[in-house]
Amino acid sequence: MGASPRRKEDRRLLTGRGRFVTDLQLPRMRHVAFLRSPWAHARIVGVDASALDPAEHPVFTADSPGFDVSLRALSALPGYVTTDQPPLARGTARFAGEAVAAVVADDRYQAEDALERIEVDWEPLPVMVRAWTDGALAADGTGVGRSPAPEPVPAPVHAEAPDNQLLARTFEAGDVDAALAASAAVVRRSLTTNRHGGNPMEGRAGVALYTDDGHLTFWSGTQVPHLVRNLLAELLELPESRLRVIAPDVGGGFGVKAVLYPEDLALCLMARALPGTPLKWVEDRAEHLAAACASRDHHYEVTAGFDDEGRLTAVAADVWCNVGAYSVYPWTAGIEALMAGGLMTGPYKVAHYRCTVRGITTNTTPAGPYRGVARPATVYAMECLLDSGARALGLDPVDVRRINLIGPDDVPYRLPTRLVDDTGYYGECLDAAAERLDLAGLRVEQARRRALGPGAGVVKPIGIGIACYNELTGLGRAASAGPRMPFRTGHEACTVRVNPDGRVLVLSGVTSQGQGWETTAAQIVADAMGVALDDVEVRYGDTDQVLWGFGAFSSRQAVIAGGAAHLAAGAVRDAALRLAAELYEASVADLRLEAGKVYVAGSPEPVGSLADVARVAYLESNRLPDGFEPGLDATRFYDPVMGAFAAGVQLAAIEIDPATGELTILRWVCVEDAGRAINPQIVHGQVAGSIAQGIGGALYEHLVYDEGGNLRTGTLLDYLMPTSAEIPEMDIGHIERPADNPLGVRGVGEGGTLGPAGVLASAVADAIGIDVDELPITPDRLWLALHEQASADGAAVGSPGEGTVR
Amino acid sequence: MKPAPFAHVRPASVAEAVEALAAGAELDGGAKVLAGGQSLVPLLAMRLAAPSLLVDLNALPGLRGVTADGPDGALRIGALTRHADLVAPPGPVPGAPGAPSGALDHEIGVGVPLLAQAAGWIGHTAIRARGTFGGSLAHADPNAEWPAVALACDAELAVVGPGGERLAPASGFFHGLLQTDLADDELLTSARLARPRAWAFAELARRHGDFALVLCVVTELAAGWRVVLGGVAGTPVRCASAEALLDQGERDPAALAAAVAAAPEAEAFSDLHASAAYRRAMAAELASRALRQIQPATSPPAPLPGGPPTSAAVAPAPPDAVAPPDAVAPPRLVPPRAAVAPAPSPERSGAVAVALNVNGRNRTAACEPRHTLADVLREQLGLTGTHLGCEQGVCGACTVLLDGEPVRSCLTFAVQAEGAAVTTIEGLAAPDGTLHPVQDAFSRCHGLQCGYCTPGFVLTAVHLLATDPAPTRPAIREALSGNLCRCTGYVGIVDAVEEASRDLVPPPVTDDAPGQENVGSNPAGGHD
Repeated sequence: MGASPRRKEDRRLLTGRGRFVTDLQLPRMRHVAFLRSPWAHARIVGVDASALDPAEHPVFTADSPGFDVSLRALSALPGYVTTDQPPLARGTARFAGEAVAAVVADDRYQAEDALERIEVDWEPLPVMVRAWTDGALAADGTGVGRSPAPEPVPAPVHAEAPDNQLLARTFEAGDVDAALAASAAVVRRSLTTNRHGGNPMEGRAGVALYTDDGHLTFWSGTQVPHLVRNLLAELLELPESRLRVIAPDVGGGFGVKAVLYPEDLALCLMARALPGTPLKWVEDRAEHLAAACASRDHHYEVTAGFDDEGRLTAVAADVWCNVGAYSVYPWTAGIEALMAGGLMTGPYKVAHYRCTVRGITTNTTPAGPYRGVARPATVYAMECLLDSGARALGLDPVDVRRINLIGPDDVPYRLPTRLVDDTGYYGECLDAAAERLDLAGLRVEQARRRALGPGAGVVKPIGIGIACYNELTGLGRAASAGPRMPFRTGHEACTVRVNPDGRVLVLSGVTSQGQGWETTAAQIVADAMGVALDDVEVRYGDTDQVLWGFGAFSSRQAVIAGGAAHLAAGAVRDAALRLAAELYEASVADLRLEAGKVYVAGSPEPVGSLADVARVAYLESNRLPDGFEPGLDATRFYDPVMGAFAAGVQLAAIEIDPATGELTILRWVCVEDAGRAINPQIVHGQVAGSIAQGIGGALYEHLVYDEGGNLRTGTLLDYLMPTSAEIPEMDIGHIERPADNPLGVRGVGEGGTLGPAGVLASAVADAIGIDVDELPITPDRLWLALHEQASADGAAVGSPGEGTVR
Repeated sequence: MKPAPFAHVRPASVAEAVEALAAGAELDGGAKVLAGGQSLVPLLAMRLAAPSLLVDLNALPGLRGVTADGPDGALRIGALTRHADLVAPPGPVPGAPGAPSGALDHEIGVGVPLLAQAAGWIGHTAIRARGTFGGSLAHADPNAEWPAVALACDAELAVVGPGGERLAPASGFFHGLLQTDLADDELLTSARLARPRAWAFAELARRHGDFALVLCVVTELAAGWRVVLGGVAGTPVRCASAEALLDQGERDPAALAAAVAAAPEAEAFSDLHASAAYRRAMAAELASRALRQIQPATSPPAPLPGGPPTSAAVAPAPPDAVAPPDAVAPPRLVPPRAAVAPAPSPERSGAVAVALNVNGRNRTAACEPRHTLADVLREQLGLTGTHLGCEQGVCGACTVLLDGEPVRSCLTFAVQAEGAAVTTIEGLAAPDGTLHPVQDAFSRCHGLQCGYCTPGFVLTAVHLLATDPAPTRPAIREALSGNLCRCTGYVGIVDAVEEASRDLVPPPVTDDAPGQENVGSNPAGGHD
């Protein structure tokens, strides 16, 4: 604990011997390709596969036997509209890219050849791609936080929702109207965030093998293998004991793979129809961009009131989330909207809050979980409000943050949505970040450049941006993510087993898609037990090996699975020491394990080893004292009940070339309170990687649909992910304030992603006085805003003033 | 994303190639020319193109290299000259944060500095190792560098068809988006470029290595000034009013910008990445930047360092005379292939045997011409360490070394690797399991998380350190910018390559501090 040993997974990954589903080859294996709808919304009149030999190329459609099941994401939320998502489009295709048919062939080349010989007769329907209408709220601000219900639409995506609304919820605390009326300043912003997605470097992938004796094995690049087993067993009406889900090495997840997809179900149904033949489907990048879950296609109408010192008096918001064509399984269409409403105010204290969130279905790819779930957008919204408030009151924007942050004395702080923030170290993070950035020095340089004026031509204005965020991690049963689904993701199991040779095997319920859990879990167990790291092996991702786990999402591995590993390891250590006490005739209290050896207090030489003890436990029951069962293992569940908030602050300095609108990041600083770091290098890596994804979403990545519902960014030539040339060097600092859980840890997987949109919007406003009301921030948008600003001012481009990026 | 079936021929002469094209034009799907394949293969993979025949030029002798052509200093560039043959030595990222666009340095590069400057903007290391000058002209992407450079240098293109060779001026060669003067049975073999007395190149791209949003090439030729804009129309365009101003002696950048801004040629289009208004404004801005940076016309042409080739013409010539000059080719990590194997059978989609050396072992694979090297390595040879991340030539996960050069194995057909030496990630560690220093540094520096992109990064880094043993951090970032990582934020990767460079080479006596200007070898040199 607290050290950064070499990761156990590195060697195989560095030598090309990783075990990705994509790499899996099995005897008799055949390959699957999906025929995908070219239409965003169309009735399927008929599918004709008669040109294919069914013996050579079995073809499956919604009409195939067994395909009459559907994914139904359930929620007990009042007013929630439950909808069906079929494994293959049934009757109607609802987004361009939806799988309509599937074909089997000996390799992927031939499978794609076969797709070209399937004919589909389409009847196009009207298409809706946007989840909100401009100007939906009264311009005078009345009713903010209580957006009007949507109107019926000509061709609803689902008949069950004539207005395309799948859910709506209003969060309310205090008296917003009175608080706004009494405010020294009230600011409004109208903000739109850009649809983008996880794009892990390995796409989705699955291999399904159904054997004649009724067993299904599904190798899947999933983040949630037990959940997949549970859901598939229900859908396929198979006993869970005959269903094995294996998630081996997975090439990145970021939430996108925490979903049970229709393709997964289709692949398993196809395997059941073709017993004995392993069927492999590997999603290619075009499929990923078109059909894997995307996120953050939101619109925010937000209002905030301030007192004359810059304290927030009230926040009101209306939020529209584009949930795409289907309610993502099993997380539901509420995943983003409810997170947005639940955590909108972030780490800022405010008593009066009203927010109506809506999930609107459209003819676009379904929206699902993606690193940070909604909060990169809500942080952006809050930081925009604080910047606008600071400007309205003539206050320093950083000071306005500082005065509103939850402090150590406020903890536990009850958010207006009743979540309890247990960290108050935002101010400490902010101070540390400001120092690392050299905020004072940059302000001097900024003033120097401003003094040179816009006429200097080559002078590029500097801006400093800021975002503060609370990352709710390791959600226990009382806080667990999701809209009242029929399961609670608060707990994890871990089994720690000492083998007869004294070495330790850990069977962990969570999974890893790059987070280094194999190493981190080993560190936790080695530390708790007193054995060498090299003597601990970690297994995860196989439902036949591991008792139970919800998997990897919501930054929960370290907190929840770490807690379970710690508890299980402690239980085994105690059991080993109890047995050792009998064997070595010592008091348990005097015994300890260290590097696999048993020591008695006061003696420098070990009296024995864990291997000796384990040997007795397994092989020499004749030596077992009365009351001791053979074996040496323990399984423990852990549920933190609430969760652990991780504090984070990011600051950046940028400069803008007024001639081209190019934005250059000069410095990027992040300081987080991630609690106690189990492996500092991994913590660092999580923060850096998540910041990079946040920067990608703020500046480059955008899934763009035309009005006909065609994805215009269907390749990586148009969907721009940042490279090493775009991502800046980062200065990442940590303050370690232990959380109230067995390891004192807080999650770190998502926090970094929450900041960049807010930071960059804030920095642009600081540099050139232009409000960023739409993401991503691109050179042509900045240039246009500067151009309009200059025209309005009658001044040269680049002079301070008001403007808007749209 | 896998190509439809096609037949593949590898002609041994230009005449044979033309013959194959003529025959292929009669087939259902027609024929396509395969040179570097960096633009064609993604189109094939997405099945946006499905030719019946690919005529693979890569075995043609005499089409690779740059030679002086005539007493006026003109250059002849063979169609198969790789971008990498023309690029400048590695340096900080042009256009990256901190580096201005369109900077100049007459000291840079091989051949003509304009070529080196422009080549540095093309894609990434692995793209430049395969992509060709002629392929770029024939593909005619208006946002690409070479069509604009050709137009700015009054290029004359040598085109060979069934009736023999004809000369096509660049001014009439580009007909529209991806459309040229080339007939189906014609082959572009070389281009003759006037040597500019003065020049400047400026470009704006969304990310490093992307096709330009807008680019501007300004040259002073004996025949007058040329101002060429790329990325504003379906073809690169000359801006007549701006050229006239320069011819009249006007040297005020603002005047040039005003001329471009008002020019009918700058009537731009809008797309996902930029509006028409922005493109027009940037054309004007880049033109003014180019003029500000242009060197005095009295500067003599930079000599060709490293011993320029001296043959009067590129093609036809003996094979050894047209190999790229040593100064051009980066050091090879493995010996070049000994001989080119005979062309495989042109049977469409029929299996062909491909013999290649993988990680030191001779291997044979039976595959179709359409099978990519990546798929054959993974599916047939069991080398699953090479990963596919996009099959569009963007992500770099599939990077392997082909005769020592980094290539995208998703954009290379296995038949093209016939007789070649391939190094994959499985071939880097020592037989006793000792990790290669780059692998080891990745582990020490947390340069990998999920590990899926890692093989491509490691091989790209191995190549980088073989060509530039002590790269700066910006140079590392430039060299790796053709590889996408979604987990690390690149920090650990850059750290790892920096550490590996220290492990591989003892640090120099003088401290090479980060941020130190290295103008002599910096494609973005000469900036503020």
